Amino acid sequence: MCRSVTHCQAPRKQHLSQESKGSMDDSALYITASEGRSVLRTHSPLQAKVVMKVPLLEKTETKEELPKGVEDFDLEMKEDPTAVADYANHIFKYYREREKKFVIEKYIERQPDVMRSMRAILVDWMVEVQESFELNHETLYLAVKILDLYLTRVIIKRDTLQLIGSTALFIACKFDERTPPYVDDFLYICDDAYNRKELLAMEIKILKEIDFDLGVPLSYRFLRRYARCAKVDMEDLTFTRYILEMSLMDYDLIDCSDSALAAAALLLSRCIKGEEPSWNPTLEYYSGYKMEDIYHLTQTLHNMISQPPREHLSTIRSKYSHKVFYEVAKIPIPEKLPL
Amino acid sequence: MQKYEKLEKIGEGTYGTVFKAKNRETQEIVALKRVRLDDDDEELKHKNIVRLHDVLHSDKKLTLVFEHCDQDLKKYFDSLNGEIDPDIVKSFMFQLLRGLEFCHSRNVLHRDLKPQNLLINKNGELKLADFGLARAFGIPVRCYSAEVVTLWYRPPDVLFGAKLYNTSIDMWSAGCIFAELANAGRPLFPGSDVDDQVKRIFKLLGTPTEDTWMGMTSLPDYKTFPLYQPTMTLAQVCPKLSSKGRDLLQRLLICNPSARMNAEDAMAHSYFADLSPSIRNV
Repeated sequence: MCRSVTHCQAPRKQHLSQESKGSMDDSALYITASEGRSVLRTHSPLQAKVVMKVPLLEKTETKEELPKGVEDFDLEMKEDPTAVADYANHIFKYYREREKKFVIEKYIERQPDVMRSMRAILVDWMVEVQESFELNHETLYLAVKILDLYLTRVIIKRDTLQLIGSTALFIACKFDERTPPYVDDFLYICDDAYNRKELLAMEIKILKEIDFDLGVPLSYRFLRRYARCAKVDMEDLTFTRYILEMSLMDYDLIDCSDSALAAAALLLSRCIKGEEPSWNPTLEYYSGYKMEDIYHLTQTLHNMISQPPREHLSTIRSKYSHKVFYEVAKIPIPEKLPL
Repeated sequence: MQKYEKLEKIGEGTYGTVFKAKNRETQEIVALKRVRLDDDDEELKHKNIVRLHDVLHSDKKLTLVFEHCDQDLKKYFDSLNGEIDPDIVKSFMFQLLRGLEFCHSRNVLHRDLKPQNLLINKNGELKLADFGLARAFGIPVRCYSAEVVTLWYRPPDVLFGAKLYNTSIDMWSAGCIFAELANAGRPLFPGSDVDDQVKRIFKLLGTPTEDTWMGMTSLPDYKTFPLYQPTMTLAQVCPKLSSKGRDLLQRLLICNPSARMNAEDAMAHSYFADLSPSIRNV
């Protein structure tokens, strides 16, 4: 790839931030339940004691019984409007159902002009863009999905790969960001290798190919749900996010289920950190996975994260070496897992 | 575009023009909506959600092809002359809640519910339409824009500039629409500006305090209002609504968003106990 993504450094606008667009009200929400409750109380104006003038209705339906040893996280969060506790379980069940619609078939054999290493370089660059534009992580994960969904459907030339990556980010931004960057920003980050017309044409092409279906269940969202339910602290969650983000670069993992990847990343981080027990009834219940279901995937992720760093794929590692991210990329990885 | 034959212009909205059209292959009547080029619609398939058939995307314009409905609730109200059958009120309200419950349990907020955006068919079906302000939300929810929902249907928390809201935002609008249905099209809170809107709400329901709504005074655009005491009861405001209906209405029109009833619970309210099974089990 000439004008390859590696040459084209995205402008580094600002220092790293753990959660982008880091205004207080936003970032205060992104704390796991355990440490988050007190913060929410002071920062969230909507955090309210429910004083009902109207007498409570007698509920006729009985709630689904939770298995033994499982904490009812949604009940606990009932009064926190950000948790949407009434619908959280519904929504995650819906995601589990829906992820089957977005299973990605391996495509590299059908793409004579694209190699796995190119995809890895592209994803590394997309992470860089996410950082410099301070985009939500959901935007990054969605963009990678859009990229892969497109590549399963269309045979491409390698010189359009970065255009597809940039356009995928552009589309993902419009879906999730409150103030998405402009078209020009997405041309600039490609060092003006493509023009406006090409980007907008690619947008139409991608949206058509993926049938405008952008509500893709993302591993990142599953992970946050599991972590909140199991009261994983911010540092351990960040370590897990590091593992999960590394998995975005790994072509071998593109056909894995997002809910399973999130569970496996969490199991792996808990094993590495010596958490006892590494998997518990609460995690099993909210993820829907038993330890044995994700055992192999966890081993695969362990193998991935144990690979020596590569210079041209260093964005995620250096991002998570920063203090904002608790320097989790520096955590030593044991050779064998206590699994 | 050759796939569809334009028949007549149905309407003009903020986002573009709507045409009635015919699919040349299937002869099906549809609604074509041409919009500005920056829209995305989440896939939502439900009997109470207007169906998006097709998207025609070119570099100059984007056309959304929707199922065709006979009219919207606003136009229906205009044809009523102030009289509405209570069973129709119940049926429309139930269908509105069912459509909402479907959206909310699939992480979508509508954020612009009003009679103009509810389409109805001759056979009494009601469908949520115009997802132009809708968005997918994550959990935990982030702060989104406070510039949402048409003034008359905007909840007090959003009127005070709340950027952090959840599914309760649509439930307030549903309450306003419920009262409007029961009164055969007389809007409940037809405010002229934000201040007037808040005043109308507080005059009817009483001004909330930190005791009934903790956090209210720290909302971004919070303003002090006189401590109005309710002078009218809901029975006076909606005289034709049954006492069970008023009870449901009261649970939707709660200023404190955390205490507002959700769609699922509203559907289970005793007001709907005698709902015709033909509507419940569609």
